[in-house]
Amino acid sequence: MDMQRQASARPAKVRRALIAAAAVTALALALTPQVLATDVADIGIVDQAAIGNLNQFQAAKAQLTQIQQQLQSQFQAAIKGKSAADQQRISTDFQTRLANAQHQIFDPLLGRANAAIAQVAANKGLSVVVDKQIVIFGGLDITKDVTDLLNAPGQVVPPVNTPAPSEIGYVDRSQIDALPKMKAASDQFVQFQNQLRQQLSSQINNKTPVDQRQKILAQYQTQMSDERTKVLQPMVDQTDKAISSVAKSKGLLLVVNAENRVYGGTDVTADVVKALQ
Amino acid sequence: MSGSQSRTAARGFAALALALTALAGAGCAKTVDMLNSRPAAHGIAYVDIDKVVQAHPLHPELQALEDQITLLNAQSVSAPQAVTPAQRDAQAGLERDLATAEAQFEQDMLHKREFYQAQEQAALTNMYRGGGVSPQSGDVLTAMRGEFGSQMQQLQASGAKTLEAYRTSLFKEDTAHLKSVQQLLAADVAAKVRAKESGLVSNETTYQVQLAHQDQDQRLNLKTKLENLSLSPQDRSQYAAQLQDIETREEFLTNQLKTKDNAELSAYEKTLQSQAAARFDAERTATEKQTSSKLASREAEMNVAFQKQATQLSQKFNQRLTDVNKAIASDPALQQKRQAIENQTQVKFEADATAAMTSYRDTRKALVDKYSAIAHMQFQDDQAIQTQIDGIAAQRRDLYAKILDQVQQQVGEVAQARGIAIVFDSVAGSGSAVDLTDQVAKAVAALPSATPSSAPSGG
Repeated sequence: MDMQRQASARPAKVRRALIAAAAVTALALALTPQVLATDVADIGIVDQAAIGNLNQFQAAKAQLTQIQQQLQSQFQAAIKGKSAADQQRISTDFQTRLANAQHQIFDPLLGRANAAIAQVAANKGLSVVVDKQIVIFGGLDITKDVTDLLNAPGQVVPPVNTPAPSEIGYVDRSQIDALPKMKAASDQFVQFQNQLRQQLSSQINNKTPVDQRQKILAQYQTQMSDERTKVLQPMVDQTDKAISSVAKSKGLLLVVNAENRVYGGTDVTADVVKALQ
Repeated sequence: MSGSQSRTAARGFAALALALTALAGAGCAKTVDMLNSRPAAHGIAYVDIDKVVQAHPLHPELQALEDQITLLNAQSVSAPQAVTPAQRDAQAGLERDLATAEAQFEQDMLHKREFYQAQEQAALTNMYRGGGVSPQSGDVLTAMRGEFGSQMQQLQASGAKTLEAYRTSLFKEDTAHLKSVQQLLAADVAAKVRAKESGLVSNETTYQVQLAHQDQDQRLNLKTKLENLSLSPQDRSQYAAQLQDIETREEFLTNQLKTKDNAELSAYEKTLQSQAAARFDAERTATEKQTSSKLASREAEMNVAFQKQATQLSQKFNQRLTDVNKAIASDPALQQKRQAIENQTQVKFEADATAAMTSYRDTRKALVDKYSAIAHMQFQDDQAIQTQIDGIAAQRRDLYAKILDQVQQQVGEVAQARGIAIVFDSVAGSGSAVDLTDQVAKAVAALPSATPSSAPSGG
């Protein structure tokens, strides 16, 4: 009888053991960091500020400043005694000249720097390189390799191959800001700000006591903040949601702003724009 | 199910359970091991740095500084405005005197800079003379720099002068051309208006004649009746009134036509004027575009020539400079002396500049007080507010850097414990990366506010 009871009880015990084991397994898997599945060996970081401080960039900056000063004094001499219309034309002309000088000086340097970053990235098998300023911890820093290459004599040859597909996406915010609904919200906020400033100037006069003045200014800040929450925050939330949704659908780890991407990466701007329309 | 079958199944379940438990145990062991020995990291994560900073015990202090900056910015936007003529005069006087003080200060600073540069140069020249490494190398260096600088300046000035002369001549040509276009267009409009006017006047005359012809019989009949001497005064008056009605009606109809013609002529002239203005604008745009392109191409030609000459000059200069520098660089004692002279000059210049800046600020404040008293209102010096903002912004920057150091340390510890290789602090959107914000914020919130900062080696 006991034997029979034991025999019939055994499967139930085994099932309970199995359930307990499964629970332990689930718990263990939950505790194990999910991130183990991800390999981030192909993400590089570069300190663009350090590259900008290299002698060649500093010399270029000094050269541009000198040209700017020369143009400024030439401009002052050129507009002397001229009509307002002619002064306007001369001003446009000088601005174009300064912009041209800037391109002439910096374009070759920037081209060389980009080629150096691409070459180092390709040699190290990186799929993306981002600016160091958006990384708070870790990452494969290639700044020294890039600066060494830039400081070496001779031409820097960019790699022939394009970077491998990356799990890091990037988005061009300027294209999102240009969307009609984003622009409308931004314009609405600016209009409100201007109106409020006018109102503020009319509320505060010479006789307004200091404490009253502080009170009005504090009220102004609150109104501005409320309007920002009302008009701009929904747009920010929508954009964040759209970017995250696109990132997930494309199996990306995360998305950075385009200005922080230096090399490679996956451009998701068109998808985000589409999702927001 | 038979007994043996159920036993077999039970054994199967037991083996599976054992395997799963072993696997789970391995998972647990790995997690524990990872937390203890910090194995090679693979993961990717991000933190919302603003949220984390908000959790820091020093955040209220940071917020207070930000509030002060915001308030000062708003204050500069809402500066009290002068209302009465006397206040406006005082404001204009204040602005003028502030501008003069600023110009004087800038001039003063320029002189100081030049003075200390000259002093430094003289000290360096003396040092080179006494150094004995390269006889007169200091003089050579100074002379070379001066010569190169003046040659380059001459080159640039000559280029600028040529370009300026070219621009002036082009602008003159443009002005003359546009003036003649304007005259031609005006003459064309005037001729067309005159032709139209003449046509309308001719029509009006024809109409007047036509009206007179229509009323001719009636007018003649009435005039004949009026010539009858035996006509009763009542009839005479009636016929005279009828004759007057004819005259009035003709005059009214003629005037009506003239008014219509005048309106038509005026509209026609307006249309012509606007067409002429559009043609003139198009001509002006085309002319200006042409001139700009001529100027740009001349400038490009001159740039090529300038670059060539400048390269030759700088090659010569660099060669000579290398020779002189070689001599100086071979003596470390001389280099040390040079550094000391440069440092000394810098310290003196900074002290002098700080004193000048203090005096300049006092002058501005005194001017604001003076004109405020004159105008019986409190003027505001935006530059003083800006200085105040800059001061607070610097404090904010220092505090933020301190907070960020501590945040970075916490991020590093959390990341290492979780086997994460890289943590972003600014992302546009998240995908499958790990969000460490809450965990780091919790760690940061637990920090004592006076924790000494020590930057980790992140990155």
